[in-house]
Amino acid sequence: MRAFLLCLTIAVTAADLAAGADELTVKEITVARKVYVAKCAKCHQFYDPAKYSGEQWSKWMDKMGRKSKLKPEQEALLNRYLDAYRAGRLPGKPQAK
Amino acid sequence: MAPMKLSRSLCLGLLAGVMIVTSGRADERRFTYVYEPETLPAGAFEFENWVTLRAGRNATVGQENYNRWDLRQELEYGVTDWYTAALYLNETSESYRDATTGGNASAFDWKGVSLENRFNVLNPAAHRIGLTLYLEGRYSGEEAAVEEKIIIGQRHGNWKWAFNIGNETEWEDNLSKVEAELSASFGVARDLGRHWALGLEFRNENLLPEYKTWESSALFLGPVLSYRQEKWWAALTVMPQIYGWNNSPSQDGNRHLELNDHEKINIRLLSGFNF
Repeated sequence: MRAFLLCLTIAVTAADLAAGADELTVKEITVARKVYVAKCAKCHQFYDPAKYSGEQWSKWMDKMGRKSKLKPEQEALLNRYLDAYRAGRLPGKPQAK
Repeated sequence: MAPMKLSRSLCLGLLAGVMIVTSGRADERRFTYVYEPETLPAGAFEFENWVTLRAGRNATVGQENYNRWDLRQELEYGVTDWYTAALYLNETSESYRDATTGGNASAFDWKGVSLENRFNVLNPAAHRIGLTLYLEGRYSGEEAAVEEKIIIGQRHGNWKWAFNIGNETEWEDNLSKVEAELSASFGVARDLGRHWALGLEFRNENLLPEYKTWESSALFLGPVLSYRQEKWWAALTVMPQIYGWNNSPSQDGNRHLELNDHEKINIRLLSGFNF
């Protein structure tokens, strides 16, 4: 019984962690939106991530991350933020309030 | 003969510009005279090369077959996402046939160093209109200038527009003479795919010596073509003077153009690369 409960706890924790990798908190969304407006939307229009393959999108994110001098943590957050648009979990355009 | 010389000068200048373009890379401007509100990202550097040809005054003002090349080399740095600073080196080469002596006159002048500051007050991505304030100082030992501009603009899909108003105060002749230049410029361009953009630029310049009299005014209008790659860009504007006015009607003997302080045509090629 104890072993079963331990396995269940581990499974639930792992599931939570996996979900957390994709889900953005409200604070993260706010920060990511600010980064997007300052580093991306200031210079070009919104390119819908859903219209690009994963490989194409990743290539563009690498290029544009270098061009806009994103810090690694900003790039990671922005990737997650735009991936959320890609997966259809966030509506509208990234800079919309 | 004069048109042949002009076209040869044009070809040489454009060739020089293209050679610089092919060896460089840069950020992206849609216009050459009109500034856009966007500033560089924090930590980004950009090198820009400016080549401007001002051609065509007349014998009445003593400057037949007039050609002036304004050259600038600029290094920009994004201090923050909202503030960009830039350092320029400025040179001018001028040549014309002197109507009084009949001989050719030419000179190459060092026009000093400029420091430009651009402050993005309203980000166009987050507001209806982008707004940037511009302040530039130039000093060469014999001349000095301070220039202020208000820059607004916005994107609408594939279209982009920008409008500038500016005031430049210039101290000339060993800083003994003051001249003001008030200007307004407007540009609109449309992106044609990922690399090219085509548009129009309009510019009005007014000279006011000592801020006392309105000496002259000139209107320029012409097409602008720009090309951008990931790390470099170039933009070319050809702007003929479409109307000009002198305070003293006999100054250049031309009713429709102002040829004492301005030229029949201005051509500017900008190129640059970011790193």
